[in-house]
Amino acid sequence: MRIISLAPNVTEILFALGLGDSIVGVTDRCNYPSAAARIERVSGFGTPNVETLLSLSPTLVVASGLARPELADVLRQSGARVLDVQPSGFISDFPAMFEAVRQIGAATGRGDEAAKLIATMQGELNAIASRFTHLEEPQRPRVFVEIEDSPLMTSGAGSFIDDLIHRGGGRNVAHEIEGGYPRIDPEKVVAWNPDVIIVAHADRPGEAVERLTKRIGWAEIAAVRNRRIIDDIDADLLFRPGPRLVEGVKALAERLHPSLPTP
Amino acid sequence: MTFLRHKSRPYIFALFALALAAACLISLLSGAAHLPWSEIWSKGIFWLRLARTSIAAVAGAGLSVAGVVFQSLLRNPLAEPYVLGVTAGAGVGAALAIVLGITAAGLWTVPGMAFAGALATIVLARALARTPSGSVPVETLLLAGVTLSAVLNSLLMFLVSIAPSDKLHGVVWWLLGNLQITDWRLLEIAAAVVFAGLAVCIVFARDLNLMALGEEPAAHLGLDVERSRRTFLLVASLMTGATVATSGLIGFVGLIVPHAVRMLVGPDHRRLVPATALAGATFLILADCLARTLLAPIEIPIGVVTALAGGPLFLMLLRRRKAEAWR
Repeated sequence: MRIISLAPNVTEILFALGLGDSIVGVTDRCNYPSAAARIERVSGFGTPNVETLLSLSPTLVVASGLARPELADVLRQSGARVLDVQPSGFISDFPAMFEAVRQIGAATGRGDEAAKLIATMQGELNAIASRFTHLEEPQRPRVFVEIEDSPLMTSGAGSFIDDLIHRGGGRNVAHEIEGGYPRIDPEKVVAWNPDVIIVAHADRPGEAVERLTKRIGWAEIAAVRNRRIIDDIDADLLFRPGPRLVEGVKALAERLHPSLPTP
Repeated sequence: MTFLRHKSRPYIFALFALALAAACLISLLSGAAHLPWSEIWSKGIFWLRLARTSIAAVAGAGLSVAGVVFQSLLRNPLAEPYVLGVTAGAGVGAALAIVLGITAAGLWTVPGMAFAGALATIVLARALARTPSGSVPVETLLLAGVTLSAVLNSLLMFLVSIAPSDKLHGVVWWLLGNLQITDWRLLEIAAAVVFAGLAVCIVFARDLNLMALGEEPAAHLGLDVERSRRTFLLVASLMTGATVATSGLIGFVGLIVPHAVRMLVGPDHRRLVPATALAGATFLILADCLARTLLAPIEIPIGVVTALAGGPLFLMLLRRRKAEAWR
């Protein structure tokens, strides 16, 4: 089997299913596991070049949202199978991510491995969730996730990040907004007054605190005042819907509830 | 000079000022956060709204007055702040900073590169249009600017096409205009540049009148045409560059507001410039109110609102004027 992965999370899933040796092409964003770096780069994330794809004569192309659906037809005509694990554009929660794993497993004849991987992740999620069973709603810190700062962008209900925050023991302040990744008015963040802010785009750990403090009107936000700004968890653990997302939940849970005993 | 004998309406300035005050009030009262006033104040949301209203006023006034200057300078009703490639240059500067991930100057990198791109473009356009004798004919300047603009726009599209998907969003949003402001210093600098430019245009409004007549009549009436052109080109470009650097590309304002105001107060720049500044500020503040509140807390790009709201408004004015002319 010759597989091309068109997304970093797909690459991670393929490796987790033991298919690393069958991958012939990845995107320039595929940085994990380190073995992925030795595979040929076929494209940027979301901008595959058809000729490069065809030249590798793939039997299976796995995408996670195709910007140009007509690309799939071209690939199919050349005899490759095309699997898009999130045709709607983004993965909405953990069950949707498990479904992506299941689909990839089914398409590659690794159904059993996929089921095992899902069971492991589910088990770890359950263990984390058991820590929070006695947590009252007000005890969950109110979390704001800053995906981009120009424009200000967050993730609302129906995004896996919203799910991740809840499973990590927090409450996403933007949960009231439906639909993925909205651009929002900064004054809304001030009005939400979150207890914790997660910054997805920090240049280096620890840098975001100063930047957020300087913003007009932001100094009074609880998270800024109390320096509860998280910019040092590896962004790929929190914002890449792949097998390591569970680690992201764990890391977030530690930070949101440092006093709770680890299971 | 029949155009200077336009009906004098002193009260019209009071109306413009009143409209601006009302727009500011509306802007301070509207936003994504629906909270009682005491909380808007205590949580610091008021300052955010004030900053945002201020930058909208500065950008609106700056772009509109720059539009007036370009229309007079180039003697072309289609002229606007972006016609000579200033925005394309700023766009290339900003896109380079975003796409290549340059963060040398932190928060200031994108505005700085945009401003530099804007100024470099206008200097280049002028250099290209310069004849061996040292004069800069407006027709040549316009052509050089439009061509330069096209070339730079292609370069911009190239940068957009190679932008990684995570950067693409930032570039596109920048191209659509953005009045989110996070830094007082940036606002102060943009305001200083725009107010200084506005002051120059008001003080030398008579020269703008003369320039609009054409090169020869202006020279006969005692204007150093070449020097005035150079000054106003620089002033208008600085104003445009400062607004583009802080707010990205906001189309339409610089073209339509000057024309709309000209219909109301006449073509005398001594009245036109201050009235346009007031009207431009008012228009952009109100457009931003819509951008912030229509889908709140989700924001609509300001450039979309200016064209969608301003276009029909302007066409209405155009029709009314035609009807008046028939009577």
